[in-house]
Amino acid sequence: MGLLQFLPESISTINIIPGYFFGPLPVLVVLGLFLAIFSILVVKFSVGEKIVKDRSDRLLFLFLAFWLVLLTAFTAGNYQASRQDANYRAFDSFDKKIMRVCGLGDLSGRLCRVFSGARPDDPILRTYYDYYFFQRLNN
Amino acid sequence: MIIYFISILTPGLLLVRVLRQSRPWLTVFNICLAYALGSSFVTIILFFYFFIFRLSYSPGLFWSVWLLTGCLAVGVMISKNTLGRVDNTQTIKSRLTSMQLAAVIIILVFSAVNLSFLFSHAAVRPAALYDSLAMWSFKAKVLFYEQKINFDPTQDFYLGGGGHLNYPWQIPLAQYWLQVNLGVYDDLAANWIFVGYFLSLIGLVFFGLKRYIGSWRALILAFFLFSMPLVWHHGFNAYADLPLALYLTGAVTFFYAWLKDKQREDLILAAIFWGLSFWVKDGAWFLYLAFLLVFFGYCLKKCLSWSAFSKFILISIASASPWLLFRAFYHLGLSNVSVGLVFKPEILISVLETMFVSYSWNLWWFFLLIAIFFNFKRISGSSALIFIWSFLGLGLLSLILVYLLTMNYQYALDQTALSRTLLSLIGVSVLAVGFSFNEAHSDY
Repeated sequence: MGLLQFLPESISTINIIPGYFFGPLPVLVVLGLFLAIFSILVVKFSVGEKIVKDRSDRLLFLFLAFWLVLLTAFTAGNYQASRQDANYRAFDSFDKKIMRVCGLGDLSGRLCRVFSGARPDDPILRTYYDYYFFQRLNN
Repeated sequence: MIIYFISILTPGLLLVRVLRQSRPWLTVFNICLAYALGSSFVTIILFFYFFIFRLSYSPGLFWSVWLLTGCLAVGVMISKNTLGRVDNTQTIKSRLTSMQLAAVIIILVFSAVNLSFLFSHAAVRPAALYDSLAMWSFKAKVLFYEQKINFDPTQDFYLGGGGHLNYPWQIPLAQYWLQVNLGVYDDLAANWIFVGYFLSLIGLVFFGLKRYIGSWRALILAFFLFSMPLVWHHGFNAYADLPLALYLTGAVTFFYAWLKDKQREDLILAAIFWGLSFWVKDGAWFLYLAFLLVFFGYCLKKCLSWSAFSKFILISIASASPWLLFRAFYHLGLSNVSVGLVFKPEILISVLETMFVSYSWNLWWFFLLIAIFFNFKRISGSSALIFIWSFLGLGLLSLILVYLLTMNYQYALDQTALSRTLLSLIGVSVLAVGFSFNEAHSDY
């Protein structure tokens, strides 16, 4: 997974946002360990620090600094995703549904077929079909 | 759509005035509360209309909501006016250092940018995520077109249809109320309901913490909550986990205030928020039991009174009772999977993975552990903090046990439900960390 990829839109349900890896190493664990070490260093060896008032503020500054590392990547990913939003705006509501469903990648594009075929047998696809074509099904 | 938000906020603000008579009224904190209380007020009326009185859609539906809102307004006007008479709120005020000011600017820039992306997505991305359709939006659509609830068990749309008949109705009814106010079914518009829940949650956490730890620290912690990727994505998608987090955060905010100040209205509000959480998602059951267990322990140790305990249970159960009685009457259980106990320790790997490897929470759970470590002395010396942390620990444990011991384990192993289950406690975890930074200046 690239750092700038807009991950949640690649899955059909928002439950987990996959982590980043450097080879086999999860980035979050590496950053978390660094954060723990820095926290100990900051709290134990910066007595007399004039810039910030106390231990709690020093910790919050440290948390914020580490937080911004991954948040920057998240924001950049969101920027890429929001550029797609500009394309959505020109379409009507139904076409927007097609665009979003077809953009969800984890069902290997099968979701897209919901809009062009008969009521599917697959229960997941059938849920999509029943939701989007409810009015047509019952009139 | 504006009418929808007015119809939610108007009774919400009136309820806030009734329930928080001794505090200033039109504050941002109260508007955040009003969004939650107003959502419950309207959806409970709709629940009575469609499920208890079994009525079909008619103009009477709008009359019911607005007439009861009017009654509430009259009640507020004729009640004893103590509005804003007492304000015990004490916020910590201090001048910002240049580094703090720089941090505030960075936070505001990141917040503004990501908020604009959130609004952009909400405006153009219609409902498309599987569980949001299957669990929460399909029922709203069925009700919109069928115009009534079907009570014939042989029919497809019995009790609203969909695959989860036992799920609470607040989220589908909120979506229905929006659509019926629009006059057409526009699932794109429904995104804004969740933007409202998201912003209310952030506001509640910021103002809930500000009172104890000051604006700057509250801002940083609210910013962490705002920018957790999973929380952010739930901010424009139709799921029940973020709204449940809002109600639980409200409950814990007021309960902590009651522990500190022993003002009766705070206990009442905490109990009401707990009761209303049952209308949102079934996860509230397990967390409520965890909360009661801690409360019970405090009463046994004579740290809290049995009278407060019984009042809390009475008010919270009364707030939830119509829904609880309804589901008992229709034999709607809690489980969606086959009944029976299993033991699946392998789900613990999934729990660790979602908390400490996935990017769902940025570094939040690392922060939480570090905050406990460095604030341990302060936490262990405060009865109120021990309560909140005990509840958080038991609450997390209860959710994990559901996956560890029941057939729900499959949804932890395939990561299709575990993370968002934890989402319901995320606001409480931010409060717990924030409260633990209280009185930090006294340490030095």
